[in-house]
Amino acid sequence: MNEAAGPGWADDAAGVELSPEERAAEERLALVDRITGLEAQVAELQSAPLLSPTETVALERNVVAIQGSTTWRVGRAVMFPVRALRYAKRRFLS
Amino acid sequence: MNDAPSRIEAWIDAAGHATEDLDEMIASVLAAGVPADAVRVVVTEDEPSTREDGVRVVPADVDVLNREWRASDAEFLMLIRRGRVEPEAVDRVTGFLDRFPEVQVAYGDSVTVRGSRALNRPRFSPIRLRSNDYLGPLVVARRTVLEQVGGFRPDARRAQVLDLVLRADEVGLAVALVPAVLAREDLSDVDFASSADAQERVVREHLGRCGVTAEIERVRPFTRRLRYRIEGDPKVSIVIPTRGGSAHVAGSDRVLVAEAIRGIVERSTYRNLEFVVVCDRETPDAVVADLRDLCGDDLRIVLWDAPFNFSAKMNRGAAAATGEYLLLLNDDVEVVTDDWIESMLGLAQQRGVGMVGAMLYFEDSTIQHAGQVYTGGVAGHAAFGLPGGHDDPLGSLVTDHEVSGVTAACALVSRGVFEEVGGFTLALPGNYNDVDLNMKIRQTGRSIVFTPWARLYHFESKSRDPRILPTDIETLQSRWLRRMQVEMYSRML
Repeated sequence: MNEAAGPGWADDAAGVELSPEERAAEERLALVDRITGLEAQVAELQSAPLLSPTETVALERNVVAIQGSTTWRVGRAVMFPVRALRYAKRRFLS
Repeated sequence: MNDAPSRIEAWIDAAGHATEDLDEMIASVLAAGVPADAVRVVVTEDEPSTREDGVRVVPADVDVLNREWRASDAEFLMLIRRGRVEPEAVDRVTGFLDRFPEVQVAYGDSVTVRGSRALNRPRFSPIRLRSNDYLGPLVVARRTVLEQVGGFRPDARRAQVLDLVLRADEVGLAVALVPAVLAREDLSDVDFASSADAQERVVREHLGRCGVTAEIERVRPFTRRLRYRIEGDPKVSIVIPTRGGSAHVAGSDRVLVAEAIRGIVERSTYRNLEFVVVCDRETPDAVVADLRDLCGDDLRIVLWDAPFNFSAKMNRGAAAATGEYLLLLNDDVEVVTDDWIESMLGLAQQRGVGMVGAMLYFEDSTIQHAGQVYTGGVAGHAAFGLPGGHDDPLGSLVTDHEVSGVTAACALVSRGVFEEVGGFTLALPGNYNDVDLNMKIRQTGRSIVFTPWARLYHFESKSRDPRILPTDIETLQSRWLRRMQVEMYSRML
């Protein structure tokens, strides 16, 4: 942690603030980011595939590996009554 | 039942293999379902002939090889350089190519012969390929690829596969990793097929075709360091945010930003530099005076007079910078390699490269950063905490290579790219802003590259609590969750 020093350099030096052009450039960065970020968010929400062929296959293999794991199977068994009740509720009560 | 075997020809390179070894390679290909009459054994010196098992032997003469594939009806050419083909390899790779018709060349993972060690290869990485042929024992190309690149070249003798893939990439054909084990192989650094020189030669020719000038140094038999010539003399603006703080490092107290810049001024061999230091108001006068003494006219001090926001501070520094390139740097670093800027800049000038990161070490010389890894929607560091000098079987820590991202503690990016993507997002003031920046740059089609040849100490505590807020993760994942699910670059670190 730094001890606060006098305001000397910040107040006296002429060049420590951005020029109007530089300030505009700074604001432009923020605006571009907002657009880029919104585009990225929209892409996340769309159903179009976003992954490369390699990533797609790797992800599918990961899912298969998870679903073949003991942890997954035990979890499915433990959760079976809950799933059965949910199914019954959907099937017969709604 | 897949009809793949009738659609594929397997070409086995016999160079450097003993007869017994070769027989096992052939047997594995036949066991994988490739009919004997679709298997070719390419030998260094021999006349064309047919073995007892029906496999044809063809000489490694380029004219003969080019006649062979032109006469072939096969849709795919499986080029096998070593190892044993896995029984499912043919189905896996042809299935992959059928599913993704845009992919023109494919390669895959392997395991050691006893299956004890996985060799998980990175997704296609053209910068890495110049330094190291990481493609593995087996590469499959559509036959049309050979038509498009004009077949095999006589000058590429002993490195035909590397040459083929480099040329395919040059003309824009998609090369992709099949993330599945396709072969078993013995790991060896012995150049039994005398191909190291040939690899260097085809890389040199590839650079020539791309208009790239670089010195090539051999690091290991199959691993090269490329020292790219810097195009022009671009000004590099080093943007450092600081509050002028001190820390106890290597037994003494030091003002971090002053010592970081002193090291750069005194040791860096690249001279066209500008220092843009974004100082909090509380930065001591003495520190600012020190910086002015150190940098003279090459220093621009910019005031930051608002609550902490790393992203905004860096954006402010970038807005004030006049260089063609921005070197984003933390104030708690110390340069180790004098030519660190040249190493990064040379890569940043390569076609398709968006940002370049460096090798960072903790004070105790363990690795802090060798690229970032993204998986399950969160980010981490490759090789984090491993001892310096550690490496993986692919030589990842002695080769420039593409990564998912790099830390902004030390990263070089052209000002144009930084501006194009909007710099750091203000939505992530403290954490993950560099991950977002990497993803934004990658989204433009550019790659992020890590170089182990730019080395710095980063005096960040290993036990630092990054205090990641739930909102940081939510913001990051709202933008990139689906694209940060699986790490395909740094799979061995």
